[in-house]
Amino acid sequence: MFFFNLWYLWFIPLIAIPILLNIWKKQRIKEIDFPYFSLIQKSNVTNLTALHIMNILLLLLRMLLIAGLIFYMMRPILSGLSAAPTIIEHVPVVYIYDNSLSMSYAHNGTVLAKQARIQLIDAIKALPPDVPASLLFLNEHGSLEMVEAHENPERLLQALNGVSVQHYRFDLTMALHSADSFFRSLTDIPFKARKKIIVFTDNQQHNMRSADDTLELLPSIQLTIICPRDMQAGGVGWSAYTFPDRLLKPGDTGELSTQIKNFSDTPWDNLVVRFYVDDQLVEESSANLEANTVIEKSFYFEAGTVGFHRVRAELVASDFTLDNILYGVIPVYAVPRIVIVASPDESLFIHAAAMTYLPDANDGAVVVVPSYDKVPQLSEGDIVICASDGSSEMGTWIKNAVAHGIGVIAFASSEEQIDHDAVTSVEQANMQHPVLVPYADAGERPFESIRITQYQHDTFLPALQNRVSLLKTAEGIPFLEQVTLQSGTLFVFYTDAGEHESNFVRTDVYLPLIHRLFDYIAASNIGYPNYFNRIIGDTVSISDDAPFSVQWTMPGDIIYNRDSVFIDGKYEVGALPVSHEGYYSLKRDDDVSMQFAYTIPLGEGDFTPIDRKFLMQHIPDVSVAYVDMFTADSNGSLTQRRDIGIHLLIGCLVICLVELLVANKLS
Amino acid sequence: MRKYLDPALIAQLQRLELKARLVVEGSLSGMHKSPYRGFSVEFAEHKSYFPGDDIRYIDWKLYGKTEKYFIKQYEEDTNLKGYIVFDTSASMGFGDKKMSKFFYAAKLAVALSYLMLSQRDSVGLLAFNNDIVKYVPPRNNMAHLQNIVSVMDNLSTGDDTSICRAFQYLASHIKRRGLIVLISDLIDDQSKVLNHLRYLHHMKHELIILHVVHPDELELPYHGTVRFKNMEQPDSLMAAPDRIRKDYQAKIQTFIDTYRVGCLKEHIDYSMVRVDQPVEQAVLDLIARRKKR
Repeated sequence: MFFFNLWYLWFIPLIAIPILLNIWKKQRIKEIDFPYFSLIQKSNVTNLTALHIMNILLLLLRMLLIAGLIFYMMRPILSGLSAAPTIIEHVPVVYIYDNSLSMSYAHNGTVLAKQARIQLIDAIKALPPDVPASLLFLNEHGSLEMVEAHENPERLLQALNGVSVQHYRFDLTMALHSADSFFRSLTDIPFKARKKIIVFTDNQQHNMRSADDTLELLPSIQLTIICPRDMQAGGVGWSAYTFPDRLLKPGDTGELSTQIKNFSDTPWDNLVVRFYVDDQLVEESSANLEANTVIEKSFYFEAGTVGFHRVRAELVASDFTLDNILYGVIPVYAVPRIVIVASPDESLFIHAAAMTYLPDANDGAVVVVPSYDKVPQLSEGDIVICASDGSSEMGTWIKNAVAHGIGVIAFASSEEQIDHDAVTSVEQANMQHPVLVPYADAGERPFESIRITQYQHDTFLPALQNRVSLLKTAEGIPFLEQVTLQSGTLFVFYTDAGEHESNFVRTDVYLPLIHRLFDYIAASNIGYPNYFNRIIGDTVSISDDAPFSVQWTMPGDIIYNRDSVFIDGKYEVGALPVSHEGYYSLKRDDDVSMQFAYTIPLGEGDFTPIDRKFLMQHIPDVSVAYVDMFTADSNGSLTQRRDIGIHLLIGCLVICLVELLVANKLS
Repeated sequence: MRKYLDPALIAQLQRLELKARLVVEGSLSGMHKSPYRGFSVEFAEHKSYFPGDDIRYIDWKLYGKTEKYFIKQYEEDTNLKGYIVFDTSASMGFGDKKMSKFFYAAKLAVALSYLMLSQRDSVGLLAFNNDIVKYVPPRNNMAHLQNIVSVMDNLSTGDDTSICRAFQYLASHIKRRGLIVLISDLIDDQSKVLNHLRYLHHMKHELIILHVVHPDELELPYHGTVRFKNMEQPDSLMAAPDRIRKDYQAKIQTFIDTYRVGCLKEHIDYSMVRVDQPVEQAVLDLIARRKKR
């Protein structure tokens, strides 16, 4: 049995009302000194007992009546508890099978996916052929796939046989959408007719992260979530760790943090978190985690030599049943040289940005020159910032530098200002760009503080076609563009580096944005891939202009060699095998070595539950029930649950009548 | 004294006299016949002369007719000695302050005392509960009424009832036959009370039982759930009067009838008096009933 409105349990104390009334009534009893007491006694011998019995009966009836009404309000659904065959419901049904990675974990010795599959097979077998039904699951590409029964439930069983746990996040929101679409496509079934969605899941709220707004499902849908009972309230887990979003250079301070969550109702004592860098234990921290709380554990480390460094966080707790090791790789980059080509009045703010980026830099790390003929010999990894007048000399020089793989940031102000009194602002930002990703959570318009004098837009180096706008003004004119030429990268600001045409250099976003551009250019220049921390299910592919071969070392020192193949004008090695979480290394024949860390899909260790409150916010019109995956009657009961509300209501009416009769007899 | 005996009641009582239905012994000449033969005016009978008899009472006229010696015997008119046996047990306190059974019984006792004193009879008072509370010996002067009233004023209800104890005391203190008026709610062991009544009756005492009851005791006019507390014992019980009323009324009727029938068998004058009827009415009813006999 389960309840649709379990929160009505809060009304249970109302059962005490008849008891309180009884006590109050007893206190109000009249006392009379009576002479012929013995005669009263003789008259009352039998009646007194009867009176007591009747009073207790009345009390019990009233309590039963209140309990019955509360029970009715909770909407109990009775599952078939006996082996006797029950009536098969002819209700359209969609089975959603969460076959994401987290379902492969064992719960009290039983793998969730396996248990769900057993339940699912039983349910499908009990399905009448003429009932519209479908099955939703993740296919091997990580996409949701729906198989419809078409009056042959055997099709669902066949499809289920080919379903295995996939290393992708299960998008429950999308699955619910698909199920709703399925129901809407059933033209011969009225919209108001009852429909069922039965979800076999480990109940992670993470699976519904994409449900930003309310899901508009058919109100006639009855959603049943079948998950382990203790996961209904949330399990114990920890979320993915975070790395610093800034580029680490030797001597910089790196941060590694984890978020440990206990959504269970019992405290979690003596848990130990260990942090490793390059397989060396650097810190151990212990804590007690109260029920329904979240704690964060962070540690800071000094970035060592240039190259890849393995980091690892381990959670040591006896009852932690999920994977307790989180792997990561942190690359440490070489310190770049920053060359500034600008007039003295414009170089001031750029120099400040460079010095704050390299606070401990040696002499010569930041070079300022007034013109392009004074620029020293550049090497790979250098960053050049040009803040000149946007002349043709500047354009030619920059184009040449970028073509040689130098990263450049240019302040290209327009010579033709439209109106010095008319000011515009930056309103549009491409938050998908890696440079701007950290600003995604900074509010709706993080760059609106930038004020620019309106200008006639002249595209800088218009001959270069490979360009992406990062920031645009309110009028849709680019303010910051990325232009790529061969292996070089150029970022163009359509303003000056002084304060003449905009207030950009004086805004709060100036320094962080310039520093992120430095990071991006430095990371791009050095040739490291920017995806060394990966999630199981992602594939690694390396490409180059020249043929090459790689040695792919998997955990357990399993080595896998592969040569590149020529695809679309490039030599490429792709789809390297990833079996489970851990460190993977890739070594090219030119001795370039890279490290990768594979972790479980982001959020798969986050057992924040899909609770009623969450569902109320996202699918308020749909009634929801939870069923324990391990105690649910697998004998077709999932399709044979009975709403016993009407029986309870009739029972309450009968109790009410009996109560009236007894009360009448007592009065 | 007005507390017990208001002028209207006195006016009514002055026209009445309480005649002892049986022959009672008395020490003064009064309205009652004395069983003692002697110097009185009314001839009773003759008896054969035996040596030693006072020859002054030989009926010489009869000797002339029969030539046998007979002694003349006379009935003597004597004054009545009345005893008011007054119940002061806790149960007599039932009723409201203005008309409790105790107060009503006290009025009744004073009224009867006045009546007896006004016809030159002696009247005494025995107040009791489970023991003797107060005994006032009989006197026949009107000033004695004040004594009775002042004793009444000092009485209060308390303890349980032992009518038998009062009767035992009375039996041991009365040397001559007299009129005993029991004013009580009779809450005692019925068979024992009836036995003692029977005994007193055999002792040739005239007995009047005035059973004082409150209407609420007869009707049980309560509703809802009530905790009844025993007035004479530390007992209590819960009951729903509406549910037990009929049964109770039958039981109290049986209780009353037991006394009524028991007294009737022994020719004892039994009256149930309700406290909601005027005292004078109760007295009038008593007198009227006795006149019929």
